[in-house]
Amino acid sequence: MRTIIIGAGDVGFHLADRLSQQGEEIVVIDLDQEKVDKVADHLDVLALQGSGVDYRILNKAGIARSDTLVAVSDNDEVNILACQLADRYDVAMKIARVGANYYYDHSPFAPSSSLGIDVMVNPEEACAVEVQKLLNFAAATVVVEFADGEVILMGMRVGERFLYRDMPLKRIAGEFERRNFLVTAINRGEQTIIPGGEDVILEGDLLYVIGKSEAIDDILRLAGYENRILQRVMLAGGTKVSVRLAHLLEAGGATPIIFEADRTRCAALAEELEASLVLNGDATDLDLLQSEGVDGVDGFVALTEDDENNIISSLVAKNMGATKVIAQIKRLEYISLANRIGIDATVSPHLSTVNAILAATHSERLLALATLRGLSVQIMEVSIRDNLPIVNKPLKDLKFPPGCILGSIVRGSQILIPHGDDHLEPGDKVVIFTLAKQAGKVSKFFL
Amino acid sequence: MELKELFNEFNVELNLDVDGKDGVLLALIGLLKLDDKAKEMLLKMLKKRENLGSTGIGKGFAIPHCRSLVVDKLNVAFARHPNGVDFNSIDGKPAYFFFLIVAPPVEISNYYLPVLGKVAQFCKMPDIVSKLRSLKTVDNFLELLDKASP
Repeated sequence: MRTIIIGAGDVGFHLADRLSQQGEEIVVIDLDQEKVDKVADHLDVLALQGSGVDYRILNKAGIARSDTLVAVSDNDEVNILACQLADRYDVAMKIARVGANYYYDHSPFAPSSSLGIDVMVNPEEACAVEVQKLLNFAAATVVVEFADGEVILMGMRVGERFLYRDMPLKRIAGEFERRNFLVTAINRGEQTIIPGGEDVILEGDLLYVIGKSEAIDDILRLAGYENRILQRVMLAGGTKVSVRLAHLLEAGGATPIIFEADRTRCAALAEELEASLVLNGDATDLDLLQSEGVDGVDGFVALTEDDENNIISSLVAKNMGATKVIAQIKRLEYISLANRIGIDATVSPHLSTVNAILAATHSERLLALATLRGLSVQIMEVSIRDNLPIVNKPLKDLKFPPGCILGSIVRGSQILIPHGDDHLEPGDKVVIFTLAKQAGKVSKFFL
Repeated sequence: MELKELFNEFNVELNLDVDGKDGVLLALIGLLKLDDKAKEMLLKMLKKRENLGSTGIGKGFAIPHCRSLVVDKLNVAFARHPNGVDFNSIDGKPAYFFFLIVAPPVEISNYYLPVLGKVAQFCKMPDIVSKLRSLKTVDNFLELLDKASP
């Protein structure tokens, strides 16, 4: 598999990193020599300096034998044009990051296939969708759906009301009648564990649990939470992401309150949004948050362009009693910090874009793939082929590579959360969790 | 909690005749049944809130609101000023229609934010400005709220 990535900014860099770990051949192109050098120094990929719409550079990158082109420069038009060029070279999969709304919806260019693009990813939209999912599952720090939403992966911090102290996982499983979920990874401090039956869960652990969508209540119970319905949401900052999110929340029947410090921007927002209440004010102001009743909100989401402001206002909101606080954080260094100081979840348009693109670049057998923020775990959704030596044998007899766990099996319309006596059949679609450093070995094992 | 359940002939005033932002706030407070000391404290809180950012949400609407100890349950009032008042609104235009919302600091039922949301939705209904302008009586206003509730 050969993939060309145009743009070596945060998104391009991250994508190149993830895809190369899966053993793909990657070429990264960027105009900026400094960014090209950074990629060449840190990643095991080919990095070229030049324009992504220059056919000579693309030839040098081997476009004629590439399967995928991902254009994620910060210029929409360059990304679109690069995909069109790739189309001329018969590249099978063309993905463009396109931020401007006028290329979507009622645009004469829609659908994107008329532009020769297979998938257009809007970073703000991808981020807003992620926040909405996080808000809908109040306890979750991350939510990923597989098998068209029938299988769900949730990351949750183990809460104070966690009931299964000092119990090994295999005994905890016995406490749940239906056993339709599985703990697939535990993040404890700096350490990521792919657990076995003897491992225990500690309060404060970040658990990653996969299960059937109907198991959500059980999964929440496991981590010490009750699910709740979303009604009261406050958004700090009238940015593009918060506008997208407000639209999504409005569609779900909620009336979000949005704080925006800039008055002119307020007026524009009030014009655009149907039901949301737009208020002029600074969301880092303690008095303002208090007088607006932040103590009673189900969710507080800080989405200004300033990471520090987002951290501060969400911390204030959390301390005042907001049930769930989410902060947009663009600087990767801040993400693990934010999780440690009590912010329930972090999002960024960049990482949402990376995840959306990874989901789209899957090969035929690698159906979906997600990365978890601040965690060295990779998730793969794989389709099992006929002549794989591991089919039709009990799972407990297979020698899985270390640091990997089978999360779920979709067999036709049936969904299994696997146990040791289960087996794989050709055509099964399985979700696998693996430590990122084992991803290469694991994909060889299953593909 | 529907808006129509919160308003009545006592907390609606269709012909405000006062000057300036403070005048409007004072008149709105006057529609709540409070003693003078409480009125004074509430005015202070509302002014403090306005200083953090105007509650003038544009299109002629303002929603002054705060939490205050002077009330023991959610209180609301509505007033219309025929000539408009400069409320430092986000669109820079005068405000004609005012919703006051005051809630106690701790409120078990937690109506504050949902009511604030419902008022915001009401203000965004199609043709709402012309409908509010043509109101003749308080009953007309109550009927309008009734129709607005789904």
